[in-house]
Amino acid sequence: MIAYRILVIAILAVGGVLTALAVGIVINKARREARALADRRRREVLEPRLLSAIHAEARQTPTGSLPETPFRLAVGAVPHGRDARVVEAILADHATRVRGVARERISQAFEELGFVDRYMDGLRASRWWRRADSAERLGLARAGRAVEALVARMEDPVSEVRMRAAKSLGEIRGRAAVRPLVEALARPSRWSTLRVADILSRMGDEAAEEIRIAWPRLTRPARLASLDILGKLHRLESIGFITGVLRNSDADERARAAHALGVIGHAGPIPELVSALEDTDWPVRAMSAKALGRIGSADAVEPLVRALRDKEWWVRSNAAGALKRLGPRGQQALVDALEDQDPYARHQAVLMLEETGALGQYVSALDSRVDAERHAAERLIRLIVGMGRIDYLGDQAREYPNFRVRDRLGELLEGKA
Amino acid sequence: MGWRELAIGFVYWFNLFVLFYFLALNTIYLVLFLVSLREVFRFVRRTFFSDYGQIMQSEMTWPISILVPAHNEEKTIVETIRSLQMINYGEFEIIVINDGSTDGTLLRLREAYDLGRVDKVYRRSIETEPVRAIYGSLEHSNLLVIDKEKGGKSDALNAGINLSRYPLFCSVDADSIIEDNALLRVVKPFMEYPDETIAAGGIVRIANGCEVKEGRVVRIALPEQILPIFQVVEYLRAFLTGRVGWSVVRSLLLISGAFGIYKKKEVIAVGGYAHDTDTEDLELVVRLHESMRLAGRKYRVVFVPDPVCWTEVPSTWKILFRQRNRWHRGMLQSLWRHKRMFLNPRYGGLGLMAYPYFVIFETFGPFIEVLGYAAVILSWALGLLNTTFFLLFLAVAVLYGIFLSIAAILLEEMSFRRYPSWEDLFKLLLFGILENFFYRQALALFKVKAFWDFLRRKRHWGRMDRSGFKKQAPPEQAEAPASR
Repeated sequence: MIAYRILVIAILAVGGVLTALAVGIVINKARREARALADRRRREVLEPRLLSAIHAEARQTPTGSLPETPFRLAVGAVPHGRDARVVEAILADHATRVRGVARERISQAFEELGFVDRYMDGLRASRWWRRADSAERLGLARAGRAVEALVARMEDPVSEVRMRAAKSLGEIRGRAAVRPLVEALARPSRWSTLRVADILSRMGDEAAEEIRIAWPRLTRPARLASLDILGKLHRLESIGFITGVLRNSDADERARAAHALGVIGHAGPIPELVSALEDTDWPVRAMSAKALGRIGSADAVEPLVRALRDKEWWVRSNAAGALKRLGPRGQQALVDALEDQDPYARHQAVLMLEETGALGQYVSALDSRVDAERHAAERLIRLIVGMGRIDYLGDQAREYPNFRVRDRLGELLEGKA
Repeated sequence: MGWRELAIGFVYWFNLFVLFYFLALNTIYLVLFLVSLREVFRFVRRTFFSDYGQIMQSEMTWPISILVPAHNEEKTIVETIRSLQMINYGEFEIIVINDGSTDGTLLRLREAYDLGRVDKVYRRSIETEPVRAIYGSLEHSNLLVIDKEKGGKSDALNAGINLSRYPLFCSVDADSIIEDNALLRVVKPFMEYPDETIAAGGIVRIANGCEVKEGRVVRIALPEQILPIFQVVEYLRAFLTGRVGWSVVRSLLLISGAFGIYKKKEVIAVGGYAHDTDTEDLELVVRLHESMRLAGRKYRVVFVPDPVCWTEVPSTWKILFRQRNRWHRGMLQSLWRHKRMFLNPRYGGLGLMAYPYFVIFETFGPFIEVLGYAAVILSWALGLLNTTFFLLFLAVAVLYGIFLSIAAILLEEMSFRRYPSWEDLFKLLLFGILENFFYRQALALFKVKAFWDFLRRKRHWGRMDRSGFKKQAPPEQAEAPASR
């Protein structure tokens, strides 16, 4: 009997929970959809009023000056409940779409309608997602008075809150916001470094200057991230500082500095980058070669040709890639490299000529009416055939649309001519 | 003691055993559900914020090599690659591995992407069948195609790993569709815990019934056929309340082969994908766990509940049987191969929780279920059946099964809400109830048969009729889908 009772109780309990779950699912969905519908309808009413307050100009008003609290007038009062939710959604949507004066007025709307106060309270909530949410929204509101509170949140025990605070500081900008972000670069998580670095990359001069000041006390990972940021900021004032890092003892810092100089793309540090092609550590040589390609100066052709003979594959590969980017002079250097003594240099040259499509042009030139062009193409193809790198040429000999080119290429591949 | 007493004794003890087994299994399910509930809500709260644009634009995001093994996929391969090229991600390369196709897979690729042979470095970090050629495209610099001798899916993936440039690789089935932001979502654990995360997988959802245009799911709906709807409910339960829970307790044994990201150097260190198993995805994850535990390293194998991969599931019992037979056989092969992990404290929670669970409940569960039905029939034949007790027990078991399905639907409704229509919601609720009456029993029988095949060392992938994502495409012959 006891077993029966237990089973009956279990049936009632599981059945009850089950019914509650099913009904809960349906009610929840119905409630959600009803709420969305009501919000949509309310939005249709409030959005035009708010937009006209955001885009209003003083001269368009009857008195010739804007009211002190235009947004409260627009929505009737400080919004609560549904109105608060709808108004906040409208402001958030438009904040990402507008710039200039309209963007500033949206920030003013957040402040005037009491949202900033609400978010500031939210930063002290016990639930981490409320703190994170409030931190994020303060950035959206660009609430300048929240900088101090957000800086305090950079020490929050939950990383998500710290990251939201960092993001918002990036939105608000200003010197006070930059400093804690640069310090945060030193945190061990790559995720944290990445996000803070991205935030700083969008902040401009203030970030660049703060990084240069903070450099001596930055940890190694923070320095590496900082070099990336300086590169992305594209500030010519940073070139001298980054070039100095090329002389550091840490190979990773030197490599990252070379990369940053390439990203900035200014021709000034070419001599330093050329010297770095002789660095003892191959990652520095590889990044310098890549940077020279990015800068795109013809002065780098000769050193890059030498780098084609480097004992490290990555250096050779980056040097060939750089030559590929240097236009006709780089391409000619690659063609010349086909006769280089060094087999690795020759190999890389073929690879790049294939990738740029230059080899395809030489194949087409086999049918050229201009003797010089035809002879040049035949000579180059013989060199490649001699090296045994005939996969691409073999395909062309089978598939090239022009039969004269196919035949001639076939002959060259068979070594008849 | 006569045979009747013996039978009564057997039935009594067996019933008692089944009762405890039932209680233990359902307690585990309940705990997993509660753990998953907490984790899914946590995940939703975290993804409420808009991070993905930042991950995509950042130069510091890990670049990924997407590996697409393809064997006789001429009808879908171009569309699959097109959909992969549209993925929202910063730096990635796509490597298609044409694994000895006998149809026009390679030709279709060459025509569509103007491929030509290229001279790429192919490091044999893992031994594979010979590579015939590597193709690249001038127009699509991030696309490479390996043409190789047939060696199976594992061998193809290993070849892709050998050619890949990046530190992470993502395995994708050629017949699956990855959502635009899926990579961004699933790479996040690697960014948050770069040293610890070695593998991450995402949820696989069912594409039958969905509208697919140009390699993208443009309208989500439940399938029209009954069998795939059962699988929708089953997948929701398995992914949202199963894998999420195992992931939280750091004991996730399976990342779906249809969509998973791995750290390349760790996979190479364990020898890549195994050839001698029917489920290379499960075997790889188990080996990764084993190697990390033996090395005493802190690591994570993570399940991320939102990055979605859409795949087609069997719509006939015959094909479903083949698919589940292979999955279960593969699981048994891996469990047998790594039997030293069973209750071995050296393997931590994995050896003491996940592995025993898989042995006791996943391996023997179907037997006990089938034997339970046989015992009921035997008891009835012998006149031993206490009908009231049986009916009450059956009611508890069925209601609890329904509870787990409905709980998974609740999780879905409160978090991701991929099925927006009321009709789909009611269908899901209805099938959450119905699946307990025939579908689950059929799956138990399939698994018993798979156990028998495992003992006979039978190995095959089976074939299936797949209709393809495009409704106008004619049915074609292809291998049973690997995804789960």
